[in-house]
Amino acid sequence: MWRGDYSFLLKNLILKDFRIRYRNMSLGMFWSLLNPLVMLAVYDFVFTKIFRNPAQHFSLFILCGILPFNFFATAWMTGTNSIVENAGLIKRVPVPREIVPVASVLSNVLHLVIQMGLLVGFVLTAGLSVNIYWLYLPLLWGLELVFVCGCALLFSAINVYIRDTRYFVESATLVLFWLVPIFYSFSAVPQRFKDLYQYNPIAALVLAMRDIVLDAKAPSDVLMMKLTFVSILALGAGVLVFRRLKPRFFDYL
Amino acid sequence: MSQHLASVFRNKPYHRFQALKGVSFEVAHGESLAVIGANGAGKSTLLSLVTGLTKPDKGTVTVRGRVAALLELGSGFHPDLTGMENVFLNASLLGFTQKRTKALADEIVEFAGVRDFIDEPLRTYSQGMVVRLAFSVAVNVDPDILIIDEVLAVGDAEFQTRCRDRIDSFRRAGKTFLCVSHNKASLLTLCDRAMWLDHGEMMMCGGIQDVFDAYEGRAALANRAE
Repeated sequence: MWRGDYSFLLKNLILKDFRIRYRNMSLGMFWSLLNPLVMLAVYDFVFTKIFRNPAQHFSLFILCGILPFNFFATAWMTGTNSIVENAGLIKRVPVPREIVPVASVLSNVLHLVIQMGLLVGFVLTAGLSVNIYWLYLPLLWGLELVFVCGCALLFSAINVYIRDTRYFVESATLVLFWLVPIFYSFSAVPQRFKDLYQYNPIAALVLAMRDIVLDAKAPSDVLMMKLTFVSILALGAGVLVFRRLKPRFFDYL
Repeated sequence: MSQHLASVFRNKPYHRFQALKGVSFEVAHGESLAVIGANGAGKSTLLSLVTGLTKPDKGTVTVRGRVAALLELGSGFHPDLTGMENVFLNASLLGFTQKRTKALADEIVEFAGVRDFIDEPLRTYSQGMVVRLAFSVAVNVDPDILIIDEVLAVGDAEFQTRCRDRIDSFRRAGKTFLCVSHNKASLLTLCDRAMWLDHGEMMMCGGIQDVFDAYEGRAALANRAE
């Protein structure tokens, strides 16, 4: 079995994903900023000029929605493809397989950090301030990472055997986009769906971020509990399925 | 499709092809074993099993010590990363710590003889340069068991001599060496024992000269029969 320095390996795998993604781009990391800005501009136009959405701080409102969603969508997709894309590694080097999807999820974190910087910029220009409840954010995003890692483990393993998985992920992401309150506020969701909504970790993160950033209040305990519960459940399921499926990766890649 | 899905979740092999049948052997510390045989005889499968990449459906494989395997040209190397970035990535894959990698990086680059290109992306390297770098990382991690699958043939004559010296000193240090190759001359200098595989079965295992005699004898016989 592989014995070695897990953190050094993780670091190098993350660096690899990161470098490969940006090396051949002329704008490089600037895309992390440009991408949400362009989306924001379009949404802003549609929802303030066409639909005339009355929400205050509309850009911030949207940003609190698209940051969690974008991160999840990208990390889930890259995580799902990670094992198949690293077939050369899996077939030729006896590294612990779990580390590959985890590294590919974590390689998206720098993206996220840059975009959180963007959020801070918007908060300050909107005349709001970074309040004490921002301290919740590391915990919230940590739980989100746990959830995404669970999904990445689960789907990357299945993707080895059933290569249609990535198309499933693509479609599911499209559906999810509308099931997460990005353009609409939680109060518009019918009462009987509200409880269910909070079990979706992406929606939960969006709600919590709006509480913190826009309303300067702590996310509710119920919401935090649901987020924790589903995230740990996802990680557990991911680890179990991955462990069950990994012995035959070699034969199927 | 449903059969495919069922086989996945029952963890049963879907394809019922046996790459190796009833192969049993031991290699002691300090021994070097060549694995020979025609294409598709199961040589690479054997090395994958010893490396721990896959588990046998039946039987057991016991390996004592740290293994470094070069199973394919530049596996674990990425063409868009520079030579040095690839050295770090590969060292971490082989289980190195950051500290040791930093300490050894110079020696690895020196041995591979690619110092002038070390900050260039790997896709600009020739095949031979990639193999030199990969071999250099593998031998420098100081494994107990070194496994090489047919990759050395790519290096130039000068580098092959250096590899041979390195493998010789490696063996003198009591380490174990496993090798697959179709190059008889280099196998004769590198290994003292050989195993001959044919369609997944072990035909013979013993002194390398004896095994080659039998292997070539049979090949000659097969030629005459045609």
